[in-house]
Amino acid sequence: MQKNYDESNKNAESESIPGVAHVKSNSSDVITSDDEILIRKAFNDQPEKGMELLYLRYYQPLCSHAVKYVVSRQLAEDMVSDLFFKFYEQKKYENIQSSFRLYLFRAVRNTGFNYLKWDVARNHKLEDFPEPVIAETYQPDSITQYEDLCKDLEKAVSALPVQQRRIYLSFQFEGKSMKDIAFDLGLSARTVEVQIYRARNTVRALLRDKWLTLWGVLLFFQ
Amino acid sequence: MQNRSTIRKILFEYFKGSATSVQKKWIEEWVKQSNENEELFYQYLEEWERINPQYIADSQLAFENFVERLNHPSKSTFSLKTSVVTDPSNFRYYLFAAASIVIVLMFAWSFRDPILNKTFTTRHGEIKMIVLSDGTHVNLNANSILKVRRSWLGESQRLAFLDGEAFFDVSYHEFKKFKIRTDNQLEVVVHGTEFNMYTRHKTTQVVLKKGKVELVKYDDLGSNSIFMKPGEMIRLEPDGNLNKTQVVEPDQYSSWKDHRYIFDKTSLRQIGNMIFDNYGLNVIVNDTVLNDLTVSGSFTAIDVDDFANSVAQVLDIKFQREGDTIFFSD
Repeated sequence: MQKNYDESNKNAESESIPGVAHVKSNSSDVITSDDEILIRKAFNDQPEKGMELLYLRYYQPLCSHAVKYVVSRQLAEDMVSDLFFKFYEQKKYENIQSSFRLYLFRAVRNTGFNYLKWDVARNHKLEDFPEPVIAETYQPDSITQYEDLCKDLEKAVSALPVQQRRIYLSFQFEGKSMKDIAFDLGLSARTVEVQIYRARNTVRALLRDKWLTLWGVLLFFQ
Repeated sequence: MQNRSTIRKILFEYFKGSATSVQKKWIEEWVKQSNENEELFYQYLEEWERINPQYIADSQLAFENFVERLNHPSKSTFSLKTSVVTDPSNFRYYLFAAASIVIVLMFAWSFRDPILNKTFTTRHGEIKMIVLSDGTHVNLNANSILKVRRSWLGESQRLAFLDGEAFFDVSYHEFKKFKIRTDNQLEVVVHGTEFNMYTRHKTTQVVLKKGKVELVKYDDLGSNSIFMKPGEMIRLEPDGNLNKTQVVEPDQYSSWKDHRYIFDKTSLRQIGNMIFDNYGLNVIVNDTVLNDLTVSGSFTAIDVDDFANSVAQVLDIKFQREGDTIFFSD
């Protein structure tokens, strides 16, 4: 895994990153201590190299953060990969005023937040797929709402009955098929399906109670 | 400026979920104060996620996938939406490519839908009586969706799509057949008739009261069709099996129209599933033995509490409602 980076070391020039030894840094360009300087320089010289550094540096913590909103490993990784791809394709790195970290984390939080909002409000029918989830669509007025929402989701999941939670997490987080879960636990596929369905409904219902009025999307239920 | 290690400590408490509401309020204000503060917030957030990962992601593989995606732009169409429905697999990219095509099609379809179809829905516990423009009467049971193709399209058929349960009294038109489709590739072709149709969880059941109905099952090889006679019940299971049974009382399958429930050796488990489908409530039975108790007979219930109470009385067990959950116990 990636343990190459020592966070306490804020002096970019002394960081050694395999494969980027040729990237020269010039400390006179830096106003304050900037732990992203190597990444930014790499983007200047060779954006693909920059992307590699970006992946090594932020992919893990971003996925770890994203999964708190989507409870699915696959979904979290797709979300982050998608964000990175856009970051590269649309050359976002050229005109971001803040740190990349701030930009990326904020985008993941918005996407996660909006995903959850959509997930809670929707009818669970595929036909009702919403407009694409866009990172910028909704911004809570205070930063702590993000953590509040994650916390409520976490609470809802941990409140599930033990067996149900186990099935739910195997399905939702690990992405196992219902068949495999049924086989592993020696249950019928039907039982597993019902448990997943109930778990999802319970989780959604708990979040719905608290968050839906806030989101003002009650018209979904008309 | 406040001491950084204190801020770090407060933020870590906060990320952990144990900050007090006063601390939260402070964080809100503090982040808004300056860009530096906001940067610091994310810096500590990153640090927190690094120290307390939810799981370990494979960054190297993710980067390789990124390069792959750059080199094969055609595969770059996958996005967040696709993985909502796909199972993770080793052939991720091919699946994603395929899935995204499906999603695009579904998007296109769902966009067309409101133009093409008129949609009727019922909420949990609600039963609706609908009269369609051609004079067909439909009773739509709870938690169901009926879509009807708009008539101005001038088609030679009347097309509908059902997910849930409904009783149809179809008005007869010689040249305009009424067809109802389900999501398991079954089509019911109606020749002027009254019948009850149930289609949930990939199971479809049709009980014909009078008239004539034709069932058409589509599969990879083409289609098969069966004609039903009054009093017959045909059930299509998720595994594709078709069962035909003769029922004595076709009416009892549509008694829900009048809030009447008729059971014939129906297990508590099945009743629980029915409560879940129709009223959206979870049913928890404290002893699995109870699940196999059966109910026979009929009663009228105006709402779910009334219903559950009646079931409990018949079985001589206790029932309790707590929010969205119904508990049955000894």
